[in-house]
Amino acid sequence: MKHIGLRKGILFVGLILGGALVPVFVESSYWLHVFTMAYFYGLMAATWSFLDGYAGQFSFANIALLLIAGYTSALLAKHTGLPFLLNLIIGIIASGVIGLFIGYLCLRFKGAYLALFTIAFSEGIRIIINTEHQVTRGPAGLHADAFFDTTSKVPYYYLIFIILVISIFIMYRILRSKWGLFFMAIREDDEVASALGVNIVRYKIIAFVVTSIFCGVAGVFYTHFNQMLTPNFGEIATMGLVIGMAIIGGVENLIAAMLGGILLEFGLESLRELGAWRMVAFGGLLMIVVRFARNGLLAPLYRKLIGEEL
Amino acid sequence: MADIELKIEGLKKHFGGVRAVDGISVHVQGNELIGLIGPNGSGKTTTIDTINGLFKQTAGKITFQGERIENMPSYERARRGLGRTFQVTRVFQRMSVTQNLMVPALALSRGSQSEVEKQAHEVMAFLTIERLADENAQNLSGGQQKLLELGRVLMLDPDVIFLDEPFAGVHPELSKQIHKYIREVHQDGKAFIIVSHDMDTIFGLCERVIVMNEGKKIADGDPEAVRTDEAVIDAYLGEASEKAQLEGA
Repeated sequence: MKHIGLRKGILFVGLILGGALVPVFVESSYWLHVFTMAYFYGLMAATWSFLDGYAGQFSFANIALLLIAGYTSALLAKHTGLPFLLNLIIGIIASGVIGLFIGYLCLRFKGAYLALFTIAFSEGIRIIINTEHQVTRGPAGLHADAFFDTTSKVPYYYLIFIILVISIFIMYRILRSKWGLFFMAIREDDEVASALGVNIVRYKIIAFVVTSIFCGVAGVFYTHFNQMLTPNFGEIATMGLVIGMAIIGGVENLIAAMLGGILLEFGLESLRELGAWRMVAFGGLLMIVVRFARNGLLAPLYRKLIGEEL
Repeated sequence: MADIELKIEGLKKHFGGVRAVDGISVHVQGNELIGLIGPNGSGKTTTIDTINGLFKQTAGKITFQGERIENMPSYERARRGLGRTFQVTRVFQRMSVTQNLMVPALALSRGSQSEVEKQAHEVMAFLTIERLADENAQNLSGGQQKLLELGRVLMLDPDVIFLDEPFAGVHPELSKQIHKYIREVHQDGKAFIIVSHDMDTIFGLCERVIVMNEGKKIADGDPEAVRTDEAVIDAYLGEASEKAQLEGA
């Protein structure tokens, strides 16, 4: 057990130190941008691992929740004189509240029905944003204020890096607590979990709300980093990309899913000259992983290195 | 420990036109060791599913320790002291044996995670499955999974334990072991309602036997009285004779 703690400590400290030193060695603005987006996708893949990999709730709503937070924050900034930080917080809360609502509505849904429900919800949100152009500027996209008054990518790099570390730490602590056990019990068999005293309604909703809050965090970051949010980003393909990243990393391991998001964003960026073919390669890799490595590519590696699942 | 009292009155569970449970009344008082038997499709499992809240009853009242519980969700019934295993073993496959055992005790806030883990190891030692502590439940044999389910119920520490076919498909040695565990836990003051097809086991183990047929209770009493009950003989022999006729045809 001591060895597990030590190995884990070395891995986590190594990742954090390595991440903190990146801007020291990487001066290219382009690559810092790629790093920033990779961490963003790492966070999104982790949110999907949290909800599906642990709590067993196969949801397509994560990107829609991101849009809700991003648009709320950007619209508040545009139409009210509220402080910038408050706009971000309200955006994140809006995402959490909608997550609570979805979680409640989806209580009795499982598998394909839950997936279909959340696809319908996500498409609904995207189409509303697309259509209500008087408010949202529709497909043209909504401009959002920048976090920092600089063209340097370094502050953004550190901001998303800190967000990622804190978000993963909080999700990790939750999953290591009794809540994490209840989520897994619900994933495995919710009727049995209930027969053993687990309030499955409460914990399913908690799983949705926690996920929604972190999608909201990712959403406000994405919006104010790119200074623009368009409904196109909410297309089902983006959600598919996040799900694929989590699955290739290892959906039942938060850290592996996060690393899957980070590494695949780098992979996709490296293959940019292939154009649309890089997505074909991504799809091919996803099919191979689903067929031959159900726990993903990084989760087994994590288990081998650390000696436990998470 | 407060005296156990579970009162089931006029319990019905219908699926469309099928009257799976059709007006069952049972009164459990104290730490009784009750066998619930009946031919296939007689409604035994549906009865305990309904009592435990897996199904919503069509009609009837369930009172436990003086409190009406028939409209409570199953987790509330579990927290009040009704625990169960399942006819087809339903362990949490991709969780370790220890994690399986920890879920009910943590759900009932029976201590910190480390305290509950310690309790889980005590239960594993009692059931002689301690060496499997870190093993994923999906890697266990059928018999070991039965023991794990029993262990989970012990971790829940309910007053009334429903065991659905605990001896089905189990090696005779393991069956003896399960008998022993049931007797020991019963002596600690727990009531048991054991569903089984195995009449000999039930008559050898239980002090009270309830017999169901076609959703109704047809006998309820001590094993000797039930064994010689005409309705029971008819229900079982009727089934045997129909089977013989079908085989003959």
